[in-house]
Amino acid sequence: MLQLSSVSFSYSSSLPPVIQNLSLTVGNRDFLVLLGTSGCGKSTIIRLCAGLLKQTSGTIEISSSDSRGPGSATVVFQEYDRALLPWRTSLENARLPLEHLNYLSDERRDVAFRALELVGLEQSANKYPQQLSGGMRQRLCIARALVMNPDVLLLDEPFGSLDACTREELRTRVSHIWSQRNIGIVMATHDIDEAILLGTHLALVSPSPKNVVDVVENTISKGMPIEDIRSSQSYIKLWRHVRSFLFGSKP
Amino acid sequence: MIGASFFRGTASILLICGGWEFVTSNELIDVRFVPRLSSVLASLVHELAGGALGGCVLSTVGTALVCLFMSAFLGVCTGVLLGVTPKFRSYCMPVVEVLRPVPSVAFIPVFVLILGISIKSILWIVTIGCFWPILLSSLYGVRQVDELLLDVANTLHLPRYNIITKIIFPASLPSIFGGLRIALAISLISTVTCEMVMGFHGLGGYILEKERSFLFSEMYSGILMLSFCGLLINRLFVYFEHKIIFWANEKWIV
Repeated sequence: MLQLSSVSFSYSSSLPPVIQNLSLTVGNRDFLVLLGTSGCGKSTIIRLCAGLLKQTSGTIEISSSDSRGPGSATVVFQEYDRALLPWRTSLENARLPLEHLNYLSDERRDVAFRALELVGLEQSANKYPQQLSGGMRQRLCIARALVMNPDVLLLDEPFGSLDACTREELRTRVSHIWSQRNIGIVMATHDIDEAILLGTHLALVSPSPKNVVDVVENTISKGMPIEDIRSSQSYIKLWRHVRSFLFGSKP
Repeated sequence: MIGASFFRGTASILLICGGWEFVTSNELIDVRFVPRLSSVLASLVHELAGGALGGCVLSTVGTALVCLFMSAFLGVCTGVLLGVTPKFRSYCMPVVEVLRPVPSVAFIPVFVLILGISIKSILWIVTIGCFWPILLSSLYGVRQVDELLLDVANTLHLPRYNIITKIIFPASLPSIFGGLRIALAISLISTVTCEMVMGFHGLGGYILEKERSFLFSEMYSGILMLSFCGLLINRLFVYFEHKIIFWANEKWIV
């Protein structure tokens, strides 16, 4: 579980805060989507949760799913090309987070291989990142994050650099992973469709002042075929609501 | 991998050789100072088979390579260390900037004073000369590592030591190899220079000695030998570079 309580953040004391008094809760099995226009602070929130930035005030707490002690969070970035080690094969890339931990080498290999299987990369275990397509590289990044067995998975516009088809495929993967693992997910995106199809909660981030204004619960069942979801009344209603929040009532 | 460009390159070399032979055999220039290529090659074979040339080659190449390895070890360690410690770096960089512009051969008199005319002096001077480009290329390699890779390493909770050995060091390797390539050229240049100045064995000493004995064919065979050695070492270097940093090669497809 991830809990942010009145978190504020600014890059320096002389600059105005980027995040102001933000409170947010992500439960163990929640899929929270941070939805907002570009520059509204989505990535900053992700980076704060990941511990890459330190909040100016407020607290960020991650507790493990069985609520014993502190939990962990890992990030998957949008720029999959820059996030992988080109001198390591897929399996070696996925294994990286385990290498300093007390594992037997076989065990380490198995854990990494299972993560590759979960994202459908078991055939490419011995290939190098340059030999993979963009979508496969991003799946590899997700596999590497899952190897850590995190309590919270943070996705920073994970499909942002992918084409429409690959995006669709990867969205199904992420949805599958979320249903398979006991994991909370926070995903930043500016794609309303993606947000409604994946999220259990939509946090609408307004550009200014930069904090979450509205958390909408998304009750649309994830089990239905995508076409049915998209043509359902509740989808259209939610879509309209989100759109008017983000862009106002402009045509 | 023998293609059209290989044949074109070979043709140019043969053309130059033919030109040399033509000019000298027709005595268009003073053949006392530039002997015919055929007689240079004859003395090259003769000197390699029975003379001192073989030993000189081994000595020069050996010295250059030993120095290259020593400076690679020292340069990479220091460069990476300076790269990851900003405070330490700000102490050291002025020192580096002051010492680096001095050509290493300028230290020849210093080392001759301290260590005498000996192989030890040469080893020190060549190592110092090779050290700077390797140090700087390692340092810049480390500082150019993608910020995002470090973010990834941090979110995966890698310990700092692992971040350096498993991410920063390999990511700097392409830059380090750039420095090694410069150092490779410097190692041969400064080894031969030292040998000449000290009149000490090795190819430099050999070339100088033959010149002073008016054995110009032999002198040129020494120079040709340097060209062969340089070429061979460079080829080996490129081979290993491609093997080690295979991912940095743009045309790399397995």
